[in-house]
Amino acid sequence: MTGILDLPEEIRPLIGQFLNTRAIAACLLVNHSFHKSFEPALWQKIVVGSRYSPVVLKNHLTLADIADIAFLRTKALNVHDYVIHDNPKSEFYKLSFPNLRRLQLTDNSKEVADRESRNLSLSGYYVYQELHQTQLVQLNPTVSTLVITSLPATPSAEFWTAIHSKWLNPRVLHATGPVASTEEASNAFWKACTRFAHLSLISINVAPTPLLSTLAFPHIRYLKIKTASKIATRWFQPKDQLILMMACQQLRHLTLAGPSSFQPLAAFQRAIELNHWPDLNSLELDRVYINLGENLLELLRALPALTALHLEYCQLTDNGFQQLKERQFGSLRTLKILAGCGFTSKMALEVLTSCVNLEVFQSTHIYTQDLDPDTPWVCKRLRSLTICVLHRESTSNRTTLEYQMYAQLAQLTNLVRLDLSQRPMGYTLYDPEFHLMSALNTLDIRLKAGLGQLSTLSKLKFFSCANSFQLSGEIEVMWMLEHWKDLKTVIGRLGGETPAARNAMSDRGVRYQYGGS
Amino acid sequence: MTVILVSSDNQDFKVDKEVAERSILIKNMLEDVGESDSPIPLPNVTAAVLTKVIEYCEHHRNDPVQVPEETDDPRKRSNDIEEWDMKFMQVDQEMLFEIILAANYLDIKPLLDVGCKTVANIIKGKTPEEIRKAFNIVNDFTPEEEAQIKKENEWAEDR
Repeated sequence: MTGILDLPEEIRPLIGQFLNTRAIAACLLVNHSFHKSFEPALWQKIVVGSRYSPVVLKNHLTLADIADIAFLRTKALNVHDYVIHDNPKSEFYKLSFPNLRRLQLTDNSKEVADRESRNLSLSGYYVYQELHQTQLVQLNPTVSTLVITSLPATPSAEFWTAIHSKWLNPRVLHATGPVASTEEASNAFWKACTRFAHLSLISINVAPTPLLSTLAFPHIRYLKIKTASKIATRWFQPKDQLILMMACQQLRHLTLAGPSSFQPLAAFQRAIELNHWPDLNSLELDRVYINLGENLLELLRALPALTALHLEYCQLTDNGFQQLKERQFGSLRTLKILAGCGFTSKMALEVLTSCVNLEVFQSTHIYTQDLDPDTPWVCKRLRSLTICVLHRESTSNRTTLEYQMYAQLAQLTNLVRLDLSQRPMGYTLYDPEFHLMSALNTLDIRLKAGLGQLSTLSKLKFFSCANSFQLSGEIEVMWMLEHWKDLKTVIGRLGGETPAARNAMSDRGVRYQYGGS
Repeated sequence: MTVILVSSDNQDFKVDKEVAERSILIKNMLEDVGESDSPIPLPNVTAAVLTKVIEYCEHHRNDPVQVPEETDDPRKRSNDIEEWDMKFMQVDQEMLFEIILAANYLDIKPLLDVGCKTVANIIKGKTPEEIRKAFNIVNDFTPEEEAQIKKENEWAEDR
C-alpha cells in the first residue's frame, strides 16, 4: 500500500515548497521521517532586520537578536536565501552558508538622491559596514543571485574582487545605487560583472574608469540599464552605458530606460544596423525617444524580427507604426506600448486583428467606435490583455458597440489575465488621442451590456476594471464566480460589497479589491 | 505518429507521439531510438496509473513546455490548481502517491507539481495529529523529543 512515507527523499522537499511556515512546523512534529524531510524547508530563507527596524515578514525566519545566531549556524546547510536589511549586528555578516544561492543586501533607510547632500567622508559606522559586506561575500561563494540596493557603505574593491575571483556560479546581479566610488573599486566592479549572465543596473553610481572599454562581457544575455534622473547620468554616463552595451555581444534582451539625454543614440542605431547583437530578440525602451519620432523610425527600420518589444515615452509616429507592422507583426509574442508613445486606438486594433502569435499585449486604450465587427481579432494565443476600452464623447450607439466589443473579447479563449482598468496617469500630453473626458466613458461591465459573452474565457484567473466609472453589481460578481472557475483576483467597483458577494468570493478564495492593481 | 507504451503488468497503450513526449524520459528515449516502432516498456508504472498519466498528458497536450528556471523564492510559486486538474486529482491516496511516483519517474514536471500541491493542500491547516490521521502515520517521538522540537520551532508557529 503506497503511502506518503514511500515517497523518495527527493520528492518531499517538493511538497515542502508549497507549504507555508506554519504547516511545515506542524510536519516537523508528525514523526521522525517527516521531521527529517521537512526541516530543510523551514530554513530556506532567512531575513535579518536591524535592531532599530526589525523586519517582520510572513513565512520567513526573521532575526534581530544575536542569540539566534548560534542556532542559525546549526541550520546553515539549509539556507538558500539570505536577506539583510539595513545594518544589523556584525555577527550576521560573519556567517557562511554552504548552499546559499541568493544574497540580498538592502538599505531602505537611505534614499539614493540623498547622497549628493550627504557628507561623503565615511564615518566609522560605514567603514565597518564596508568590511562586513566584503566578509559576507567572501564567506559565501556559492551565491548565484546577488541583489544590492542603495547601500550607504559603497562596496569596496575587495568586495567585487571576491565575487570576481571566488564565486563559483554567479548568474544574476541586480544593483541599485552606489556600486563603486573609486577607480580601483570600479575596475573590480566591472571585472566582476563579466562573470554574470543577467545584469540589472538601476541608477547606479560608479566611478568612471578607462578599464571598461577594454573588457568583454561574453556571458551577458540580459542587460537592463535604468537611469532615473538627469542627475543620475553623471553617476553612470551615457557614453559608458553605450560602451557596456557594445561589449555584451551575446545579448538577447536589452532594456534602456532613462532620461531623454541619451546622446549616443546615433551610435546605438548604427550598431543595430550592423547587427552588432545577432541574438537580440527582446527590447525595452523607456524615455529614450521622447519627441524623437524620426530617430525611432530609423531604429525600427533596422531592428531584426523581435519576439518582445516594450516602448514607453518613445514617439511612435504613423510611419514608425508601419515599420512595426511590416517587420515585427509576424514574430512578436509580447508587445507593450504604453504612455507617451502616441499609440492610437486604431493602431491597437490593427495589432489585435493582425498579430497571430501575440501572447501578451499591453497598451493604453481602444475606442469602441473604431471597432470593425467585420474584421475579427486573430490573436487567439493571447494570454494577457491590458487595455482600457472607452467610448468617445460623441459616440451614440453605445449599446451596439459594447455588444460587439464583448463579442471580440469572447474569442480570446486563452486569456488568463484581462485588465480593462484605467490608469489615470497612464497617458500624457504625448498621447493626443487620449482625452481626459473619456475617462467617464469606460466600457460598461454589466451583464446587460454583454459581459455574459465572456463565459468563453474559461481560463481566466485575473480580472480588473479598476477606475471604471460604471458600477456593476452583485449579479455580475456571482456570474464571474460561476463562469470563471479558475478566477483568483477581481479588481474594480463591482458593487461586490454586498455580504452575499463578499462571502461567495472568500469561500472561493478569490481576492477582491476596489482599486489598484 | 503514435507510440506504444507498455505498463508493468503488460498492457499496451497507443498514444500520440506529441502526448507521450510530455514525459521527458519518453521524449529522450524516442530521440535515442529514432524512427523505430518498438513499444516502450515502463516497468515502474502499472496500467491503472498509466491510464491516469496519459489522461493528464492528453488534456495538457497543448500547454507550453515549461522552461526550468531557477526561481529565486520557491515559496512565491502559486499554490493554485486549475479546476480540471483538481477534479483529476480526486482519487484515493494510494493512487495519488502512485501518480506522483510515476510523474517523477517519467519526468513530467507539471504533473509532479500538481501532485505535490495536492498533497500540500491536504497537509495545510492541520495539526500534527490530524496529519498523522490523514496519512495513517504512527507517532514515533518520545515526549521529550516532541517538547524539544516544539521549543526549537516556536517562532514558526506564528507565521
